[in-house]
Amino acid sequence: MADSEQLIAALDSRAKRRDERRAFFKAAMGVAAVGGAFAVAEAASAQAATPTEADVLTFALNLEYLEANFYSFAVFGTPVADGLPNGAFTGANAKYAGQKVDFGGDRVTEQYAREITQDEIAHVKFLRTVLGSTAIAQPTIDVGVDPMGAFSSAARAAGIIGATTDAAPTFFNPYASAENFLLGAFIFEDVGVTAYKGASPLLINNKTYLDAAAGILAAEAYHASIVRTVLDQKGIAAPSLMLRENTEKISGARDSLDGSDDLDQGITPITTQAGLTSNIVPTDSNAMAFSRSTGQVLNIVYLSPPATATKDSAGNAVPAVAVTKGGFFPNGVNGVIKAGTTA
Amino acid sequence: MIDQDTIKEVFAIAEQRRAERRRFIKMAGAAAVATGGASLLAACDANDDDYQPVPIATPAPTPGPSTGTTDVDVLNFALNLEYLESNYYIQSAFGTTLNSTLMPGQGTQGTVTGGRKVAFSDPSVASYAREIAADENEHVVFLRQQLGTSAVAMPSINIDGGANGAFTAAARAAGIIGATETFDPYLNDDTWLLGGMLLSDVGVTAYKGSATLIANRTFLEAAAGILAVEAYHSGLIRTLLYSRGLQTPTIATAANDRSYSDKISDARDAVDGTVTQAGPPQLYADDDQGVSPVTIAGAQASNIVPTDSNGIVFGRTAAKVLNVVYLSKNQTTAGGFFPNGVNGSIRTSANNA
Repeated sequence: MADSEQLIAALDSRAKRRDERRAFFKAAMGVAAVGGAFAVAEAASAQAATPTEADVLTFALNLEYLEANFYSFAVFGTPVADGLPNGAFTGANAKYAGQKVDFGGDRVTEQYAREITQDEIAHVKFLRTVLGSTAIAQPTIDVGVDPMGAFSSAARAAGIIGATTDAAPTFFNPYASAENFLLGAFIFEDVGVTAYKGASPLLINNKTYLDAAAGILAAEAYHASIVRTVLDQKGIAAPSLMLRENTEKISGARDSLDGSDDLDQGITPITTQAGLTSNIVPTDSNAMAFSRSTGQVLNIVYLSPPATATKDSAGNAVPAVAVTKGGFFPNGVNGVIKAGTTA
Repeated sequence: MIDQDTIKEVFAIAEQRRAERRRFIKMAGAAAVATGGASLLAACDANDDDYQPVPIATPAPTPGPSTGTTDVDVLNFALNLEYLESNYYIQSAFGTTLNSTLMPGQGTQGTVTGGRKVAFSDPSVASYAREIAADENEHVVFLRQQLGTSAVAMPSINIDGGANGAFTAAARAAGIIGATETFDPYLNDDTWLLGGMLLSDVGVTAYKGSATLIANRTFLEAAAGILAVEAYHSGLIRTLLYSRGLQTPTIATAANDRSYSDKISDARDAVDGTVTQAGPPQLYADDDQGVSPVTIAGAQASNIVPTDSNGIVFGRTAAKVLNVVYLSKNQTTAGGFFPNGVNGSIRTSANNA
């Protein structure tokens, strides 16, 4: 039986080891940004200094559109329908469409996917109802499998797939297997949690919105936990799939995209003197989930790191211009809050 | 000590009586839920001779603070729940209580009754227990730091796995076991997960229900961060219950809401008292949920996330959280997992009788 001092030492070491581990992964990742595939567009001047509660929920609705369409494609093979705008994946945007996942007989993962899909579609409908006539339209969303698309770019930035060329294109297809689907979901879910947590103080004056956001935050955390737990179990059963390692790579990519703060963790367990300890919950040393600002969230979903100041050919300083589109939102999100951060 | 086969056999015997019993809990509005009728099931438990009802305190007339609840009150209420959760998980993972340096504070400091290290058969489940224990320990540390000298002391906590334990009272109320049987959450991986489900879902609904009471932005964001972690924990536990339930349907996924996870959920529904039909028979909202599969768009889906039709996780008021942890539908200030009640100004459960 461990005495209390040993226990506390073990628990402290868990937090320290986690920090060290994250530092290691971060260093190993370098600051691998996605590169020039995503244009820096108009200035961030449109972003209000103090967003209204409706602005915050509108920002959240963009993220829910993204999640709902990814899951809807994964489970049903079709985008979100039911009266919602669903024409965004046709014509020139056909390359942005997802596919029905081949779960390969993994019925349990399919059942989890089905549950999450229903929740995410419900979130879209709920936020549209709450926002009423001011609800934004669904922006253009890329959940496709094109080598130059968002998922492939994210996976390439994470180091899960290699560089692509015209002769030998590489791509990441989150619909190819149950495991790929879980990694695709992993890219979003923790980000959703940090987004809602970061936004919570902005909603303090509207108790109705705050209560709803707290409930959605919790649902996103449940989803993230399902995804992380199943990846962990599958990682144990089949280490050669490198699932735990790939979550660290994705986490490292997110950390490099959202700026200098360390706000992300994969699922690799750590060994303390207390024994093997899992890492299902990404937390800080206070055992609290992380927060991200709206700008940091947008840096991730735009797959573009914080903008930096540059100099023109005459040596004059050119201020940083925050990115407003790219990655999973090729034309940017809708609403007032639409710019990433500047370094 | 009862071996696992005996427990399974006991559970199988109890299975037939559960439907009746649950209907009884749900519909008998005036029944005291936490103390089951002694005649419901024949004795199967070696500890029968030691059986005593879990003491239920007399209802206190003092009303809860319906107005003027401060952030300190809310965070102290949360701290009581963290004391409970941390002790359960630290005992399960390490075989010890919360460090005694983390127990003093305002109000009467209590003791921890029961709990022991679980001999996990699946190393990954043991690794999850260690992670959750560390998180809950840190929640206690964090809340105590935020509250400073205002922090409440750890109240007396009953997490005993024996016949007199709060888990047994809860499991009897839920119909997981018979009226004289014992539910030991420290017995094996599955019972530990069920014990964890009992506590972690409550933590989620408590933090969710308290979010709108917090006036300070920093505290609100902190509470949101803990809410998220509790939801991760709950999601982890429910996911494992669901997947393990596919091998052992009685624990989590048996048809027609007959699994233990559903029964725990129903027992919580019956005490937290969101009445949908005044009755008789009195009926309660089924806002709490087990993990049994549901049908979505014509095919089976899991039910890991306890949400409403908007995909939003439901919340409980502090008073209703106290109904659940006191294992009572009455207005009272003690019982169940907190034999002497919680510390702080928010301490009275709702009157759902």
